[in-house]
Amino acid sequence: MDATQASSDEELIERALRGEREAFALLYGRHQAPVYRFARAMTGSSSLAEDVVQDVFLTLMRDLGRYDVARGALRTYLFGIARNIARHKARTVRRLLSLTEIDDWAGIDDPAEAFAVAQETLQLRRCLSALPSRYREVIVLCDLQELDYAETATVLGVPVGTVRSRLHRGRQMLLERLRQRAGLRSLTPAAKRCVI
Amino acid sequence: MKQDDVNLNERDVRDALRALARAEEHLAARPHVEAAVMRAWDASAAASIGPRRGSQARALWAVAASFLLAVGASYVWVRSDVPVVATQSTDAGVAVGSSWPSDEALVWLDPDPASLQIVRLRVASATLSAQGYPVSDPDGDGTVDIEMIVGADGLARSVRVTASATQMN
Repeated sequence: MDATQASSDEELIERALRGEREAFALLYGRHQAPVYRFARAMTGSSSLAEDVVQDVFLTLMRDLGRYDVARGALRTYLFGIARNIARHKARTVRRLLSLTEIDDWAGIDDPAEAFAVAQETLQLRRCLSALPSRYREVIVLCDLQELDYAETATVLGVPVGTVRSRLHRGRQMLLERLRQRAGLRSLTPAAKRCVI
Repeated sequence: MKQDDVNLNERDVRDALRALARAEEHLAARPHVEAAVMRAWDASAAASIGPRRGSQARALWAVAASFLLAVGASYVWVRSDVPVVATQSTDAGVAVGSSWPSDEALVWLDPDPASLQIVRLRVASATLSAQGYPVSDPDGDGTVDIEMIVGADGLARSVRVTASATQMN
């Protein structure tokens, strides 16, 4: 890793403010993937998530001077922007697209294993995407993006206690939905039709 | 995750979420997104350098000042039963005229300034009032002139009431 890549976000922002293209490109390279994964989990769509990533970094470019390091890490700041943009886009589209794009099979050599993993992932994603957004976003931030409670509270603009309670409630709701699906899977097809 | 076991607990959920996070570690936006972002950077940089920088900054300030004047005038119109604050309206219009804003201002309005278009409208002031936007009618002809900067998505980026009909031509 060279000195440029080891620069802190604050240093890169300072350099970008002076017009250094490479500094902004490094910021993009450093943060685009987490922002993309967050947006994908929130919108349920890979293409919509890419739109969110683009808008997030255009917003950062426009408001670069407004970022205040004292108010949190850059990643937290970007998640906050992404959250607002994702919510706006979801309202605009007026529907959450299905998370059925099995584009994460890459890297798994065994087709049977790939299928099993994809099925489990799909179930989990479906249940997650069906949660109300205020519960889904805390699970995505804490459990998938591995932010701590304080960082998540900063992104969402709520107290830490609210994050804890929403996280607990969200996991319980997710658990219930997974149980229902697991229960349905253990029923015979005829019984399943009756339940459905 | 135990898919066939209905006795799942919260620990299983957390384990499954961790597994999902690991499975998605490789996901990222495709390269065309970075290309679009860096094109916007280049366009923004090109708009903010060169000999016209000072005049562009002054134009931006003029747009901002005219906006504040327009907001102030609208506030007075809304708050007052007296129908005409024509001098403020005229000032707001004259401050920037009906010319196209500077490149810098356009980048501020939209990351892709080339997609912006200006749309000029003449509408009945009574129609605006009925929609909840009471404006004065300085010319007394029952109409007001409006300029909108509209993006490729059809959404207005900027709206202002111009002073007189002559600016529409």
